[in-house]
Amino acid sequence: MVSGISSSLDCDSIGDLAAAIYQCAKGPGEAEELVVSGSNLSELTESFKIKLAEAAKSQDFTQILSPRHHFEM
Amino acid sequence: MSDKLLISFGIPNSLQKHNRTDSSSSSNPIISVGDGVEREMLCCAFAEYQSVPNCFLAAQLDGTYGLATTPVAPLAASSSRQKDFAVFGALVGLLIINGIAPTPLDPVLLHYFLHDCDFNSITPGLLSEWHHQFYSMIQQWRDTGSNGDISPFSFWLAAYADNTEVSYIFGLDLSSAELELHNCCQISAIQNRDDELHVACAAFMVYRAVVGSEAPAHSDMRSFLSGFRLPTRNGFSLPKVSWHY
Repeated sequence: MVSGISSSLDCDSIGDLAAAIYQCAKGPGEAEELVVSGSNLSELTESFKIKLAEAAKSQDFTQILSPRHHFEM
Repeated sequence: MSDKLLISFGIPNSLQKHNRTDSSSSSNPIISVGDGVEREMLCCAFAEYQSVPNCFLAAQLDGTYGLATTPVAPLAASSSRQKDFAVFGALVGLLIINGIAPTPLDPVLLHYFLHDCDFNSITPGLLSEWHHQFYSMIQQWRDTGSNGDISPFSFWLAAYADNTEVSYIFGLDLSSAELELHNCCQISAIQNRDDELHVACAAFMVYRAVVGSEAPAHSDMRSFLSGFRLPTRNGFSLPKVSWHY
């Protein structure tokens, strides 16, 4: 069991952890969509690292932890 | 869906490749999406940080690694270094969230980070589970007491209670004479100690062995944690989740 910032996350196994945390991190309302694309794994990774750097700079990982995230290559 | 072939939704990579081959004769663009792609990308990004020796990771106990902080970093205030450590921290946090162990980082160090750098979160049970030999030494140190002979601890004191880099000691770059000199200096410095200093030495050795030579306020550590915490607009951050196993 993992308890969250204000209430318990709905998570009983490690397999559910990501979804539970994404849900907890987004807060109320519609989640922002995160789409990361690259023509291959290397490009995809670089694109994502740029997004991580931006999120770290602004100290806002809301989009990174969005339940509506898609990684495409 | 009409103009795209969706290859996978979290299916094993081998199956993705199989499907990709099958569809290669089609004129449709191929898109791989899903949990499998996400996990592979996270592992690939993390591996990039492992591939640069001694730049981001430093050898610690039992084959595990901690952060390769450098005392020069706070003086330089390098923005690229801060960015690299922040992205590295975010990747480690995301790997944990996705149930992937960020090996070879020390699990005890990760536990410490997940508990917002609360040193008291490193319990004897946790230390014993992952670093049993080191834990036994700490127990023997405590049993020795402030009036006991600490010469049998000379190696540990040299490794974890002075300013010498741990990896330097473990790399055996010190000659035996140099090591002996270090040991003598350390032992003489704390030969006359009271109970409080004796206990503090144990805590200090644990900190140095698990976390490293720098405080959480060090710029490298701070940059790493700024990513690892994954703070969001609604006040969420990874260490705010209370972890019960």
